[in-house]
Amino acid sequence: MQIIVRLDVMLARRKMKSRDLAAAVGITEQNISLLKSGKVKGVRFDTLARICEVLDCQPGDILEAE
Amino acid sequence: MPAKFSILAKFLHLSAWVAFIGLPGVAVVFLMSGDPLSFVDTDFLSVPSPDVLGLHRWTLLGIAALPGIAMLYTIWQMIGLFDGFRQGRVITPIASRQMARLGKGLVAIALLTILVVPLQSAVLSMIAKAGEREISLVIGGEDIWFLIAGGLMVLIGYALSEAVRLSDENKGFI
Repeated sequence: MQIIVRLDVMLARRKMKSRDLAAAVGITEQNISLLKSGKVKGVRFDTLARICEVLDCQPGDILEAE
Repeated sequence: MPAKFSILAKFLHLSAWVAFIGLPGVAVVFLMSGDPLSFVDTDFLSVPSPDVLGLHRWTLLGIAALPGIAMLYTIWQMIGLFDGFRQGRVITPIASRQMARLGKGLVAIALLTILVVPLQSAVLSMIAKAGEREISLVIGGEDIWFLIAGGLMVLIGYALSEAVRLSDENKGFI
């Protein structure tokens, strides 16, 4: 089973750019890009919480098991 | 890296370079200034040291130089390590390897220092008369401390390599 990251979908729904999300969450735009492409080993809970707070969504809206 | 450690790393880097250049320089000055065999300590012999000529002379000097060569190798590792530290490169694979090699160098210095006396006494004994031959062994407290310190540095090098592995793994998390 793989974890698929749907961050690009949420960003499109909220009409937000990666750069703005990165600034709001407090991580680099490069890390946002790596997260969107699924090329990270993991996400810390506090980072995930901040992303969900900024995008006004649930973790399940961003992460999907396939 | 905090400023005080960076300053310390710079000072140690410079000191290591001074030692790396100075030690061979001092050895060359001694060799050129007089009888190089005055370098060789024969106090460990209980019989008068025989006249040493030719090949035996250079063999004795070569044996005496062995700990010095190990010391130069160790100082070279220190130079690399301190250079990385002063540039803020602390938890790196190279630093862990240099730390381990530094430790092995200290162990080599201790072992070679211990070996110098029996090897030199064997060479001196070979050219001595029958009944005046002997092999001596001297182990000092500082030799033991070098062995312990060297072993400790090897273990620290291993611990640093684990820290590098964990740091790399941590970088994969956002």
